[in-house]
Amino acid sequence: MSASDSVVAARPPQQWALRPWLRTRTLLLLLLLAALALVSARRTEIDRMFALSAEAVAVGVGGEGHSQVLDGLARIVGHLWPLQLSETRPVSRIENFDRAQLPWGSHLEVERRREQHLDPDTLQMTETTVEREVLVEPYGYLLHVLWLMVETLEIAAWGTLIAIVLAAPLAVLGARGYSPNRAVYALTRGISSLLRAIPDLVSALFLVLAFGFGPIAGVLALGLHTAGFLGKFFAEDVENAPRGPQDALRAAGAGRLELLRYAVLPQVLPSYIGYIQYILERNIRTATVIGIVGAGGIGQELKGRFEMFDFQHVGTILVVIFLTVVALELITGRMRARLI
Amino acid sequence: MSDAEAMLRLHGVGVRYADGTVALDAVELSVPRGQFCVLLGSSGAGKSTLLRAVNGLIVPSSGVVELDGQALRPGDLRSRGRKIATIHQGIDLVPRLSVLDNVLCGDIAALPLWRALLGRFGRARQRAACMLLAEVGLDESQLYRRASELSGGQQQRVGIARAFISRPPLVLADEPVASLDPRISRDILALLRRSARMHGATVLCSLHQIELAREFADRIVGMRGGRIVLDCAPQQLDDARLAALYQRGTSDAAVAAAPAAAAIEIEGLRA
Repeated sequence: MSASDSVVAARPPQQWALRPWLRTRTLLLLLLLAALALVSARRTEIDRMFALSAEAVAVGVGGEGHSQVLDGLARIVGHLWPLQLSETRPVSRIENFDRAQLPWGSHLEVERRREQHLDPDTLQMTETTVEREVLVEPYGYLLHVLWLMVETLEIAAWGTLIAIVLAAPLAVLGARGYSPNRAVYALTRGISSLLRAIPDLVSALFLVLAFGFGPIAGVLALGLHTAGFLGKFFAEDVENAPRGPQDALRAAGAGRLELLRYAVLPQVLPSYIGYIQYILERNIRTATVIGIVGAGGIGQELKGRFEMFDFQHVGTILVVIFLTVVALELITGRMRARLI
Repeated sequence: MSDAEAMLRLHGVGVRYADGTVALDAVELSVPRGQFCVLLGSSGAGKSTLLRAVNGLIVPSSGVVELDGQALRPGDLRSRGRKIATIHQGIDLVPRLSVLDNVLCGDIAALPLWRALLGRFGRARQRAACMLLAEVGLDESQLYRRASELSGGQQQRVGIARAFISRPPLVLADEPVASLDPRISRDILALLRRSARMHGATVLCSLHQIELAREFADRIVGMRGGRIVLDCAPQQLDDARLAALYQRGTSDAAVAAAPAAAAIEIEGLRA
């Protein structure tokens, strides 16, 4: 043992200093967090949330009294139900209507309505019965919504594809060892963060102004936002790919692109597929609501119906969205199990 | 030996890391054409650094590396990769790539970029890879299996095939059997030696198994502290020299002087 080692006298193990279970620093930190939580709870009405929820549970279980929350929920459900499945259109409004060839499963009905008119001669209100012929398609609206859901899925798929394409250069230029220099590295990582930082609903608002209402804005908003995520994830995977095989190919004379193609890509592919799957799932969920700002898909219909108080139509849309998301979870869960 | 016969010549090659560590200290080494030269020395002696200074993964801070009489330009890994092949410690195949693709990657520097990126290695090169895989003892059923599905010994066989596909005049091997059991290690080294003979390649191979070095080497070079401290035929590698090579704290002079008393200490190392 050298002289410097023996400066601290070795104590027997019975006397070695052990740390207390809770240190003062930890205790103070916990107290501070608790104080912050209390202040914040007042501001965000957490106390009221608990009170109202408790009241709702009590009324729900006991069956007596009134709960604001339960009444509200009951009112909504009452409006949503029964779901709107059929679609009724006046024949006079259908272009090139061919009575001999009705759409599959549809039939014609005569709708009678009383209308009140002011007779200009007598200045009296007169009531007339107006008859009009309407085409009733029993599942017309449901099919319309399903078709919009397909459009929504397409928006999500294209958004994801754009994200993958944009993320490829972000990944390579934002990975240490593959980025040409510090400036490009910082710039690329910056772009990725910026893309992630702008919520897709916000960028969709602006893209709708630029590209007009419809799916273009939705596709671009999803693509740009998630390119930021994929760019970061991919870049980090490239950085963390095992060095050994890369060195081996570098020694064999492979350039950067060849290294990426042969030593990096095969190794990171499984996790890339995982990320892409997650982003696709997320984009489908977001695509259902991105139409609320006019960026196409089922959300646009949802917003329109909501604003016209067509709650039964809203009900149909919500059920279709819910079933799609559940189906998606099941399918991707199974795919992931098979791939990894 | 005369310089004209030297396949590889290191002249005053030094490697100094950023933190001031001297990994290689003005090394002079000349390996004649066709020789199977083994580097011995304990961990951190500079064996890997020397090999990496030759294949270009490390740029030496001083000195010249000459291949076949021509000084290698530092940084030009592409042209260097066509003449010098490396078999790596821990094998270092690309695990998820097929056996065939792994072998073909050894010749990547000979292809134009677009062909390499598209995976268009060409039929002739694919045939050559098949020949080599058969030579190292693999069969057709393993051609398209992922490298990670093979056993360690089989993987290093693929590593050898990958090294020889570019018809390199010089093959470097950095502890090629470090992760393999003794019987397979012997097979792999025998294979490496036979392949080198067949293809007329010069081999510089670092090892930590002294017995294998004795068995397969034409010449043994010992390293310690970034310097070459021993250079002899395998028959001349006696216990005293080994003890001095591996013992901690002895001066370089002690290796040459070979104190007989140190011979006892080596027993632990050889076990």
